[in-house]
Amino acid sequence: MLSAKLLKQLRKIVGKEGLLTAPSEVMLYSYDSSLAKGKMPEAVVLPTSTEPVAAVVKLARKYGVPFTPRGAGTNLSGGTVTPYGGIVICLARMDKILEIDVPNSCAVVEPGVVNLELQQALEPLGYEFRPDPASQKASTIGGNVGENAGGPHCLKYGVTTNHVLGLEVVLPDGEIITLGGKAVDPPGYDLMGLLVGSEGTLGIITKITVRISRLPQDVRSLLAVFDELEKAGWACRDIIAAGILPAALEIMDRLMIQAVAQGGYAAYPGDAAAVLIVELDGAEGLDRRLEECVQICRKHGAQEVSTGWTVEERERLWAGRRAAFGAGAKISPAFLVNDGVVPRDKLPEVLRQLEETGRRWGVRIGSLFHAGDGNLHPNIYYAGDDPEERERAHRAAYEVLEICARAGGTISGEHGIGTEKIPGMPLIFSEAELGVMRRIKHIFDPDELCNPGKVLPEKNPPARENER
Amino acid sequence: MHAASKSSCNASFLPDLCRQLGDAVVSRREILNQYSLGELVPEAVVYPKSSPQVSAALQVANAHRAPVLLWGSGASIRLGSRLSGLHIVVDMTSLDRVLSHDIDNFTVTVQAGMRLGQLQEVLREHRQFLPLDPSAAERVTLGGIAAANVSGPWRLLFGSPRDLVLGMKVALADGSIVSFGGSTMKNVAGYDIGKLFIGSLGTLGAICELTLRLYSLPEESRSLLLHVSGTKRAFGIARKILACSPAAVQALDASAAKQVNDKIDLRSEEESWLVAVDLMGDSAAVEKQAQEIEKSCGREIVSLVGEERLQTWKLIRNLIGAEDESIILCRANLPPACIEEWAGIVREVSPDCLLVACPGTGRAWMRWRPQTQDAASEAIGVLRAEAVKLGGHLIVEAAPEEWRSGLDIWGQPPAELPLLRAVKQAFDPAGILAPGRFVGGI
Repeated sequence: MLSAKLLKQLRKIVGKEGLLTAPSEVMLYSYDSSLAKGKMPEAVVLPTSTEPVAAVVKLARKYGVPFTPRGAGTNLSGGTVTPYGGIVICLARMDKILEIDVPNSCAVVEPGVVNLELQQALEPLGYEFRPDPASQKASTIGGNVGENAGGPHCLKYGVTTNHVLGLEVVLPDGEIITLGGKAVDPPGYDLMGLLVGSEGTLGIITKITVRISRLPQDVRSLLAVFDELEKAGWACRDIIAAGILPAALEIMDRLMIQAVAQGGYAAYPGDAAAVLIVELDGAEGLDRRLEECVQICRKHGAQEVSTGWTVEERERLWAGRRAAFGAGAKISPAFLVNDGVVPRDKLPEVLRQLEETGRRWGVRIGSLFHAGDGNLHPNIYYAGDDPEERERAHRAAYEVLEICARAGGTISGEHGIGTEKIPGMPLIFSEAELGVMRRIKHIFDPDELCNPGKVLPEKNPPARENER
Repeated sequence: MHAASKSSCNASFLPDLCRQLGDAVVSRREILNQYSLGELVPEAVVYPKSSPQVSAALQVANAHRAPVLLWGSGASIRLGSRLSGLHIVVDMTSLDRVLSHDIDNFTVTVQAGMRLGQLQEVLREHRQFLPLDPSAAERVTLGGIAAANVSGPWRLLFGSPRDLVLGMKVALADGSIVSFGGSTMKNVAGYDIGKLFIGSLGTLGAICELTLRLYSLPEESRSLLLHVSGTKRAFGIARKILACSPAAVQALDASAAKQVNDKIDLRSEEESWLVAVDLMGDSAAVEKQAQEIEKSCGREIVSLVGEERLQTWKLIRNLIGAEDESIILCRANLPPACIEEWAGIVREVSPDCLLVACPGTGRAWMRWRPQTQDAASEAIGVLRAEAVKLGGHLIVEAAPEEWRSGLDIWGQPPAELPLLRAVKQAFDPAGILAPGRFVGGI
């Protein structure tokens, strides 16, 4: 419990309307989009500018209370749950686009700006912010930066870290610093690069300068239908190996296609074993490249290859893809999300291993892949009320991490480690490497109050409760 | 903080170094002299052939608190402030192999001492390339590129080393060998520690291996050269060209342009700017870009392909190489839209200065030959103040060796200096790695 004195001071900083303490209210901030569960936060503050964030952080530090930054809570690995309770600093009300600076190809935004809102503001100007996570309708730029979010179009254009130019950060001691800005390569170690993807454990990002890029002049899409998942993997591998760099290259498996169909998105044939979506963009010569992709799909036995989509049809195609994650709840509301990455040439082999994993543990795996960059989301669906099946699901999930690590890949491509993936960290990092990360964490947050219990395996982790 | 700089110069580490590394250690005077920086001459040069040997060298240096400088091609060795001490040079160029080239996956893992030119040759056989083109692109090492975070004209389209390095293996000052990142396009597991090493000028550890993202060689590459009189018109044209998504756009002032024109036998009006454009992509796309540029710029355009194109870019890149010890070379990083204004400022402050500007990325290089150190110092101060006023910064990339300790290389240290120091302390507590070279005397 926070002391009355602390609560009073919090109220003074963020006002009555910016402080939530009633159990029914703070409960809403105790979980994110993963199944991870922490303790209930004791208070939620909703600041509207940087100074109150800094003041809350200073206060929390003075009282030794943990604090956790939060955007829209779309995190998929438990990055915004609160294993130690404490104060949630929700940045959703810092939601202003401060500046769109076309001559300098950048925009300055507050962290609570929703990704899609930024895209909508940029589009009439002929620009976009390249990272486009499937959660973009809800997820915030601050959250995207905290997690180093990806999205389908990161294949060609890189992930969030490649599109961040500057940050304003409230450090865990309450100091406000500015890193980077509209000019590139500021002298000094690249702390900005370190902060991006640090999952809110090294500081709280309160302002972001992002690079904006011209919308592609022309776009072509292709949808190929396969009767085996592995064949789609082969086609994807060969498209990349042919030196074609699509803007996006996505695969969905049977279970996900069915879920999307049930969810009312009729974009894909409901009985297919796998679909491959290819999007090419550029200025000229796209039709020839598209034809190469068609040939590769045919070579690998695609039953159907369609091109020539209108803008509306293409949007339907992507709406279905973006909805797939949520539609998965139709299969079973309880599912574990995986986010492994493997070198792209290993895809077909890894896809086969994943199918075996599902069979071995008797769980249903529905897969969405950003196949072009080797990023896999094999979601494991299970009966949430059956402890035995839940246990099997967890074992299968760990096996997925092992498969990805063994294939020379990694355990998270865009969702982050949060709390859920911590057990997998020793699969890819040595004790010395984790030691370096701990030293970095210690520099920024010696009291371990800033989003504690995330990313790094702890010496004495809190007893894990069951997930919700 | 800098114990190493205070320790007296004695070669007590030599027996240990030789015991650990045998004939990889050289201490002959004539060799040592090749690695001198002004009056700083190392006591030993080590030529490691493996990461464990790099680690062994650092361990000995660390135990003896002997300052170490990691040396690649030497192209960027004078970047940063003058070292406060130099006992051991670790020459990385024997680590020159491709460890694995994952052709289908478009990644390559190389030892850090491999030269970029050599790698490009290997890649070319598979119709791939690494889109980095810094000065001295042929011989600069990949470890050096990463450690100095140098990039050339292609940065506009392909980004900088920080965008192309997927993973690295590093030997730390205590001798431990650690890896960060990997060989996948995406990776958010744990902190992105590799970013700290990119641009750290060898002050945090020795990069031993790098995994890099590759691209397909474009079907067509074509360069366009436009002579434009008047600063305003030159940058106006550059802006129009930027809208066509080229791989590179550089604006060279008249004195820079003259050096290029003379060498490739191009004629132009006196005092005109040279706007150099590089286009890369499928033939149809390059043709369309070229047509658009021709239409919107409406002037005579010289089109270059093949060897001519390569030589021209080599000339342009090497105008701003940091190896000439008789000049001052500064780089300003600015909000890109300020670059035209910057050209005017430079002309006013230092009329005899050669200027190469990248209107797309906001970078500009100024090269000149001042009469005295005081004159250099004053011009640097004025230019830097103007750069800061525009929201950018300016660093000195090259200067006569005897002036270097008297010039402000980095400018005002950033507000986060205490954090930078803490990072240095965490990786190199004894302060042996290139002491004094980095921002704020780190």
